[in-house]
Amino acid sequence: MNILRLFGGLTVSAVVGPMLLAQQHPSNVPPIIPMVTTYDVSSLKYTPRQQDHIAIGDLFFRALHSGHFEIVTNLIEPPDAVNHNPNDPKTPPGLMALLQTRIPEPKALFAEQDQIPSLVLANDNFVVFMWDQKAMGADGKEYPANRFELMRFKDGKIVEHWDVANRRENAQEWKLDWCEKAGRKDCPAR
Amino acid sequence: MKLTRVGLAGMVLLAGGCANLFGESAQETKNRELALSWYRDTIALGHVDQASKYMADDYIEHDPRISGGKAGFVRYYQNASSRPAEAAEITSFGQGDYVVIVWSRDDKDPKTSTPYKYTTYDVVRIKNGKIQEHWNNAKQNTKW
Repeated sequence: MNILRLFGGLTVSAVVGPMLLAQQHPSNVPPIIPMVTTYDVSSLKYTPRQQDHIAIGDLFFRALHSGHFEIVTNLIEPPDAVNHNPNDPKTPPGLMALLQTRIPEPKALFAEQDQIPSLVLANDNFVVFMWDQKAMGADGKEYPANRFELMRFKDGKIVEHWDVANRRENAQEWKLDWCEKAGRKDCPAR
Repeated sequence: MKLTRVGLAGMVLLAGGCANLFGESAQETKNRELALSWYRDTIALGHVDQASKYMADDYIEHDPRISGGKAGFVRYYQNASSRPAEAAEITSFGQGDYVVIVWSRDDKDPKTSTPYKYTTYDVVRIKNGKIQEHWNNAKQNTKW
């Protein structure tokens, strides 16, 4: 089992054998939520199972975007996991292969401050992450906007993942080109 | 007496204060139902005359296309061209004062016309039985 240090000095156990995690949490464990927010979140309470899912989801994003694909592989349920994005390969291995073309060498796992969510909501099977971000307007000025990701968990692993991409605002032709040239079978239909 | 799983769940709900099949408390379920009704009536159907039934006077809107709180919301969604097309719900749930609704929407690739699906999100915070705050994934140029 890996011990990973998250924000504010909090420590969480994660990865290898995530099904064990819920059993290891005592019932009085304080919230371990990597969230930096200005919103009123005083009403949010998380069960140990939800905290495990949130920690796994947070690690998934960080590992994916820092090129630690060996960690990502431990967090998803093969072979049926689905990546719902109209521009990306539909399977996590395809998504990782795509990102590996952009991140050939792993970077620091927790260096990406943009990955700290402003709100995390969970029920027994789903976790939604929300981030406060900046978008660029047609006038060249930045404005506040929100990004979201949804994950579904089964037996402590990620089995589905949804983000907010579409083919009008953020069409990414290079991804479709790459997938077809790579001869993959999990490419989205053009 | 033989209890089905659904029947047992119903009894648990009747007990009050217990989690339902989705892990929601009775209040969280009520919040979710409020959020879904608000979305359907005011955003999807454009019945903005019902805004005050659902929304707090000091409502906060985070959608970058809309400014001016509740009045701005009403101005925006009373215009039929602003309203989103029909969508299927992927999931929705309440947690604390918050409700999240995740939608699957149909579109066609602008170049090839190939149908595809994409995902949008709505999150609301509820206070005193009214929608107090709303976030979504819209950008300034979003049309859905």
